[in-house]
Amino acid sequence: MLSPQPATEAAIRTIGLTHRFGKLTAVRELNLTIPRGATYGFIGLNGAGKSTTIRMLTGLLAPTAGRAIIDNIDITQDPIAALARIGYIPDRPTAYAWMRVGEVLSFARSMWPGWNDALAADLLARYRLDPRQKVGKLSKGTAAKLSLLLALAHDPEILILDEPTDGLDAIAREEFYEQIISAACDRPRTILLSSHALNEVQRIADHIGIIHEGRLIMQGRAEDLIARTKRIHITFENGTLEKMRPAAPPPPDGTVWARTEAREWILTVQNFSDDTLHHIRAAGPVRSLNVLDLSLDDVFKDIVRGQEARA
Amino acid sequence: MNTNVYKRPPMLALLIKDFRLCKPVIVAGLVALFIPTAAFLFGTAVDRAFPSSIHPEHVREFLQDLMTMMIFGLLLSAITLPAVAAVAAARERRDRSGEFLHTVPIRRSRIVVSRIAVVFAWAIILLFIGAGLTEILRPAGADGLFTPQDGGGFDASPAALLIATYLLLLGAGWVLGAILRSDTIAAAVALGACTLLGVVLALEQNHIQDHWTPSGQWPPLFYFRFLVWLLIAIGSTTLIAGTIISLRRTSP
Repeated sequence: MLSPQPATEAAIRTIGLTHRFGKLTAVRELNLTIPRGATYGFIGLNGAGKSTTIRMLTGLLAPTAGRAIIDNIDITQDPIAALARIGYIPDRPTAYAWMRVGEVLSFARSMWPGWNDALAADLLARYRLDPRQKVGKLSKGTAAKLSLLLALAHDPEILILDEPTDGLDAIAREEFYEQIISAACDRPRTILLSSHALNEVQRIADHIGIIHEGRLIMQGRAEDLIARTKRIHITFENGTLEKMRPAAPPPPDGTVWARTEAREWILTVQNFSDDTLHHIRAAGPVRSLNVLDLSLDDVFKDIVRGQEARA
Repeated sequence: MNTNVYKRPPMLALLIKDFRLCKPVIVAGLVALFIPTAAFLFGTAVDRAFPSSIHPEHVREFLQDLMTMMIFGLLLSAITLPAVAAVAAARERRDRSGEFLHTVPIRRSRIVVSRIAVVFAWAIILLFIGAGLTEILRPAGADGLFTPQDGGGFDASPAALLIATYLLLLGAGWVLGAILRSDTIAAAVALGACTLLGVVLALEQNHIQDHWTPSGQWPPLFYFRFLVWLLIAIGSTTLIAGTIISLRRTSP
């Protein structure tokens, strides 16, 4: 327990969290803050460090440096207390394949002090799970529901989902997210969701964190991020940006990715405001200027591409 | 689901889970334990279906053969010891169910204690069934497993060698299961390593027999004792090492 530090409103917090696999640094000095009650979409490319971070948050991997704090409890110092507060859904079901559904539930019931029998029975009925069925024989969608049941039946305050719909078909994915939304509505919960399905993240997440090459490159409210990130297509009167060199204008503040395509200068700008437009117009005579709204998918791609271009 | 059923204490739930995890190997071990005896009894029954008379010497011979078969079954079933240890230590890591287990709020030490308890329970059951049966037959004239050789006490009895061998097999399976991801490979390597050690020790025994005991008798008592304590030392060390590795491992 973190006694010297005051309790914070962050349900999940990491301080300089780092993990190295030999010479490879999978996660470097990650400072994540997930407010209590938030649904946090944790997004990144394959190998960006999402799963490594989640494994450290669930005690499945020891940090090389830094701390992972769950509900003001350092998981490396008091894993039992921290795990009692978490419901974890991995990318693939990990419940005992040789057990029957009822046996897995009975086993889990013995393990969690806060196991709620009524809730488990309710979820069992709601997900239409057969207690006599072997876990190994369940379809992917049903196995995902079992994982969700196991994560929810001890009524955790925090739900951590690591690519939970990986390999599920569209309908099973839809159903799964319906259940997550329903779980979030049943009681106030903090949800950390790592997923590649950005349209689904956009649908349920109110906070977003983007991780790239082990570094957290952006985090904040999803609404703000999407509303204030714009893509601007600019054409100058005197030709392409190349023709304006060496006096080519610098991109405005908050530019996450700048490139030229044919005669257009395309900027993706975070914290877009009127000042951004003033800055562009000051750069030279503008023939056309289009400001486009972006989806989370576009925001994510542009931020990551910008990072890669800078690297 | 019946929500009013008895809630098992976590340790009991872990023990039942680990027993069920190892059950296929345990069943195979029981079959291996009894199959030589059963085959012998069946063969004898067919061979002597209608005996004209039962001679006391025949009974003695029969019991001696029966004892040999039981000891053979005991050795055969010992093959399952490294397998049980390896399955207990590595199976959940291989099939990823260990990930589920490691995210429930329970101490790692309890998980490891439960595994090792099931492994030891199997070894003790095997030893007691096998050794117990041979002791039952001892009054009939055959040597029992607890009969000391050369009057040397516990550490000179075949039971001591058997216990030491069991410990070695368990330790090898346990430590390799803690290191390797595959329980099958861990069990196979453990069995191979123990067999290799057995061959080396047997060759050494022959060497001692040829050079130290010209009459070709059983090697000197101190060598027998050395053998027992060597196997106990290796077995204990590997068991402790495997336990430490399992406890320190953060990832399942």
